[in-house]
Amino acid sequence: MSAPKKIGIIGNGKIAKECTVRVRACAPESCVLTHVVIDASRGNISTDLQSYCAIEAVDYIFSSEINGAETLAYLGENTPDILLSINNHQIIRDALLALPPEGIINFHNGPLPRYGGLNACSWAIYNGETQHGITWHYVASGVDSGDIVTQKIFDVPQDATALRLVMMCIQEGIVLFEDMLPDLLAGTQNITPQDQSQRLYFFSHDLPGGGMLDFTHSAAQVDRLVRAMNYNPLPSPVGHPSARLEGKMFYVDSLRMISAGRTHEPGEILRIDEALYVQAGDGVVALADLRDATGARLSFKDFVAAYQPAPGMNIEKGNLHAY
Amino acid sequence: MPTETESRIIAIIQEMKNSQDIDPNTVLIDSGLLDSFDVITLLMKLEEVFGVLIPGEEIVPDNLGSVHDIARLVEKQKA
Repeated sequence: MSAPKKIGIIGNGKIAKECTVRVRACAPESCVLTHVVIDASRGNISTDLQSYCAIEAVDYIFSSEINGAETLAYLGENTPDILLSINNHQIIRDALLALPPEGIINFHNGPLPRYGGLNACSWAIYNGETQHGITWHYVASGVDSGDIVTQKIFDVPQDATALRLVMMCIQEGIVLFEDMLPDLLAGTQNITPQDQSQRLYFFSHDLPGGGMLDFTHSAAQVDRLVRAMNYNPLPSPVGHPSARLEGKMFYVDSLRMISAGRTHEPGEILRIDEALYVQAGDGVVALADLRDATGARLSFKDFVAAYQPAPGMNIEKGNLHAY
Repeated sequence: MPTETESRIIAIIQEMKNSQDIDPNTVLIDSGLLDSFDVITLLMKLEEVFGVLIPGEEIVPDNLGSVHDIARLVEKQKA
């Protein structure tokens, strides 16, 4: 009988916690959790993994530099056979990659080789994808480029915001991990190389639509941009779509599509009641959830008082990252 | 004795978690009672029930650790 597989986990958040729970629930003869490294490289409201480890008396360390000597030394003791990288935002370098003999498997919230890199859910919504996906894949030297262990494709709800899609990815990712784990422990997983000709990759500095609202675009395109940048109630990692009224910047959190057709110039304010009704390229949209130039959210009443919009005024594209 | 704001927050969490065992000082996050998905749901409910917009910089574990902490955050936004 072979020795139980030693599993280490690097990551953060709900999905890392749920996968940790499932590894610990394995039969002791099949696997053992040896290490938990909580990715502390960026602020996160989620303390799910930390809370779980504290309550269950699981040893863990925080690491803001997973490739650093301290983390490598921690993982080097009783080296795990397999390392899982789950909601880990740090790039894995060669020394760490070489550590676990059976490799590192990463969770990605996109259907690789499409939607690699950052903010995959925002890009999927912006591009009008009707389906999105999640991927568990081996880590190779290039980011999000290693062989695929398993993948699931699912429908994107028509009105999904970026946060909603992220949450769906996490839920699907947990289920898929549970399915994948027995094969991983038995060494019977199927490996599929990524078709690099299909690769689509986004960097942190890439923003959907440049982050700027453009009312010459169709109402559906404008709506997709707003939903792609909507992570409410959490802070958005891609900022908020910007616009200008009489030279003053503001940001839009959500909108409603009101009607089809174009009777006025794109960007023109048609009427104001509980929202700004604005002509887009092929329809009218209503803007109600707005932020001022500093990014602070405003009630619609406060927006009207501060910006004094009026029918006939024109809303123009904003600037990139003005706050 | 919980304040009115605390009572309303307790009711929200009781409904979310199907649990009656919550008071103003119950540890919500460090105890694992609320995970990050629950926090997101709770923040949405706070906006709905109290009409307050919680700024992103206030959404940190220290402000969400107990019903008492959350009530203080809500009152601060209402002020």
